[in-house]
Amino acid sequence: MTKSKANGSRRQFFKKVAVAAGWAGAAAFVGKFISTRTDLTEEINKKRATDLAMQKELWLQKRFVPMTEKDKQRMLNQILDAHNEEHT
Amino acid sequence: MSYKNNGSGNRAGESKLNRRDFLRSVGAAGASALIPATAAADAPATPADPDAEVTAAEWLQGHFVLMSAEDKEEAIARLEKRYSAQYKKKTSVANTPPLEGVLFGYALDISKCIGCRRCVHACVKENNQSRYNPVIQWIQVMKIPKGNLAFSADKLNDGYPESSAIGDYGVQVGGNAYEPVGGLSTEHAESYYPDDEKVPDKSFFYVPVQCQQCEKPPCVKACPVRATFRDPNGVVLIDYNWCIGCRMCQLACPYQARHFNWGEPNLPPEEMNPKTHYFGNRPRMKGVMEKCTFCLQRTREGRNPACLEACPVGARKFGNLLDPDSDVRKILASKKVFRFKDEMSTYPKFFYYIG
Repeated sequence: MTKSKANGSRRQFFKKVAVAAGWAGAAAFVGKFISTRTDLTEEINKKRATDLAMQKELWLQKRFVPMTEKDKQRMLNQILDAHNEEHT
Repeated sequence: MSYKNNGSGNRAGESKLNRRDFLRSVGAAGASALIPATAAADAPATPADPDAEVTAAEWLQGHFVLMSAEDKEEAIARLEKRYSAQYKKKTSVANTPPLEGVLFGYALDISKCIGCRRCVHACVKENNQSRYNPVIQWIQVMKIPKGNLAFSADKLNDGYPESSAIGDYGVQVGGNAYEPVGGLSTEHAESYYPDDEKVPDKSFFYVPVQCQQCEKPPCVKACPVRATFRDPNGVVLIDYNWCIGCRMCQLACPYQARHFNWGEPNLPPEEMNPKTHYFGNRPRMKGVMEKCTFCLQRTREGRNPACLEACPVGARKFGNLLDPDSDVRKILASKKVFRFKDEMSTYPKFFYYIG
């Protein structure tokens, strides 16, 4: 094989490789694009569901207790004092 | 031009060259077309209107509370322009100041609540919450089995020591040191029960939960940039444009009442409430926190929150804690009011009672 023929074959080979890589890249890009859009929405909903689960777990541990008259007065005074402290 | 016949019946030079060139050009064109398509994929699904985009000035604006009057007006004008373009309707962004001499409090009668969730839906509608992907609702209604209520008024003063001259601090009231006299446990509670479920179920209590508007809010302490703060009326607010989305406030909140926008909120233009307030119900964006603001856009104009107006049984009361004649103060004075057993010293201004 002469040098020019060998160079020509090598050039052809690299061109084929480049075209094949281009097509493979484009296909992978399209696939990723489609799956990313789906994953993004699923991911958002999953994270939101986690937040809600945390909220539910927290509230399941809560317990309400009734307040006496003194408790109520103390609580009100504490709220009003905290408010007045901030605004005087 | 001469062609070599390669034995396959094709004219080797001509057909190979044309097919190859065609495929190469199609591949290159297809790959280059995908690049702008993916860039557009993350953009909002609204027609390209430059007025609907966030401007650099909006990105770079400072904390609203610290702005000059002029800067505030400019910020408001920018937002009005953006929202009007984005939602295709004239949108107003108010900057109504807090009311003088008012500290808002909220009371909810859990014996009256029927779990209809009209308050939830009224809140969503009034406050421009995301409708899907994700669904954000500032009010969550817990469904608690009635058997969880252990309350006896008779025992309330059992074991109550005589008042000390130096004050009663940290004294267990009623019951004994290890067992509180009774209360409402949220064990086995359900939340977000389906909308089509028949309510009320007589064997359950319904307890709506939302931001407790604490007088000493841990979320405000946790925020590294002071995007969340308590206003003079006692409402905890968020400057959505200043919020950096670190979620420290969400972790700090003992009631998990704050909601993070993991994605761009989805608010159909026809459902958008165009009467907004800068700190209240204006549409939020991806990466910021949001929560109940006691319907700031209404309450600063002397109106009631949307949830209260939607309640068909009058279970919700709202008013000024500084006014002894207000509904909330009367409830505190005369009704059985509950507090959380593990009090975090946050001084919540949202009270649950039995009427």
